[in-house]
Amino acid sequence: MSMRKKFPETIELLMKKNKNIFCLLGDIGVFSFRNIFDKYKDRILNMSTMEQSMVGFGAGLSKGGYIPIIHTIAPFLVLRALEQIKIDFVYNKLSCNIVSVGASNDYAKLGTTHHCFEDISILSNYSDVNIFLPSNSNEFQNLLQKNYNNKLVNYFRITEETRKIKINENSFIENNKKKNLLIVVGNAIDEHLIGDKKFDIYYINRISKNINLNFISRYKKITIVEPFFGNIIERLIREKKYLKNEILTISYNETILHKYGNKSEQDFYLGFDNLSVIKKIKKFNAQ
Amino acid sequence: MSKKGLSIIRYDILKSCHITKEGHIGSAFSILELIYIIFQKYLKKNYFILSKGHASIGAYSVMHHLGFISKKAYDSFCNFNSNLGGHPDSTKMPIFNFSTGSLGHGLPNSSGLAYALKQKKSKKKVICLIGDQELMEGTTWESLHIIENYKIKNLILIIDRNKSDFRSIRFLEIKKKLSVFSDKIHEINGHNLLEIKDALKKSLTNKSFNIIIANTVKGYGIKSIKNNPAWHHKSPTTEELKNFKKELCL
Repeated sequence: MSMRKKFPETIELLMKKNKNIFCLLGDIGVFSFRNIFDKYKDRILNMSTMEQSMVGFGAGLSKGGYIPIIHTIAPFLVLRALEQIKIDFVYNKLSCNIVSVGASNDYAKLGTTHHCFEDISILSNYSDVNIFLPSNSNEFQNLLQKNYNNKLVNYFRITEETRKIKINENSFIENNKKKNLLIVVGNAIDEHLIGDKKFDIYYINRISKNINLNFISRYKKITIVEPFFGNIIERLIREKKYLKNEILTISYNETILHKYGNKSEQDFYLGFDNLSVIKKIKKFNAQ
Repeated sequence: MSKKGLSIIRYDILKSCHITKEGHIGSAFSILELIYIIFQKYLKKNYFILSKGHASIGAYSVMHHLGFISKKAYDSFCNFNSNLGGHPDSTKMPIFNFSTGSLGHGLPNSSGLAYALKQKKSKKKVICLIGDQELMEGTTWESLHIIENYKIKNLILIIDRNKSDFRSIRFLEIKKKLSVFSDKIHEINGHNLLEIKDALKKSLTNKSFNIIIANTVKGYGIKSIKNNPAWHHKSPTTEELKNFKKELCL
């Protein structure tokens, strides 16, 4: 099951369990929420395409003691309604769950208006925002269930699934005391595709001000693969002054594309397809 | 509140802006009577949102005169560690409910809060004060659609009609345009305490979404500031302060 399909199922479970949850939809995926509209018509609102007011309205709900879950396509939330996220929630210290779909170039064929490579780069500027990057539907469900009521501003990035196994928040996938480390962020790549590994592998699916990266000082070389724009993990590592590490970040390095096609074609064009990424990882670690 | 009392509050605003070289005097003066009545009579049982956050010094001055904050706190306006900034910070001053400053945020926030109160079957209402320039913000009109669609009746929208728009794109026939969203529109003189009280009393007791168009004058009380765009974000010199004190008969 895709994360998109898992989302309404999870929301229904949570709304049944917690009467304080209100779900706001930006006229996206509405049909898949039809059961919830039938059961909880006052607590799920299709706010149409007024993304900024939807976020502002959500802040009002939060002020009134409720838990808003706000959902639409990534650029319309993070880019168009950024000021509302920043002021209405972060500055006011109000809590919410923002769930985006179609980040980076998941909507490849729809073009740049529907892309959002820079969401994490932007939201990571606010230290009070918790960013969740699940890479499969069970992991998404687990993260949402565990964190939706943590009284913080949470951003969940629903993307295409890459990883089959369930993994806990920010943990080692392989820890064999190697000299080098590969950090895989969210759904960047399935590590099983890499083959012979000369490095430990650490998985990051939550970026927050409390992220613990202390362990990386023991590694000589660090390769980071992140499926968005902005070299975020490298920035966090450098802020923590682990400067002796040699770091390579493999990520998207464009935000405006004048191309269509499918996601894999675009990823190949951007040097972020699996083969290109694996080649870069191996080259860096072989040196 | 006597005319002299209001003049004292106006002079305090002028003094603060003179000392700090900050503050939007024109806007603070246009909402002063509205703020005075809201803070004096209607704050305890309702939520108030000052969407036009740049007029904050007007609210702080009223709060000081009503004893909500000390003189020391009032005098700290815009200091580094002050709770009173050029725009209100709700985490420091919860009385404002939302931090505002960027125009067009107050009404979406207010409509969400009013919807939450409606769900809780609370008797409290939300009073949202916006500037007329905020009618140019798309979010204001989006929110009016939200209010209409979700039948949010426990919300009072006050528009400080100080004609700020007249220096840019004019907002014409406000009442006619707003009448699509409310059949309870009260047009009043926003400097007349009795008219303000009456309109608020009616709005708080009926079961509709009410809009109060408060006709005000930007910089009301001082001739040279009145409707003078140069004074939108300007602080008085020592000489000007002296002259304004005389003009206010203090």
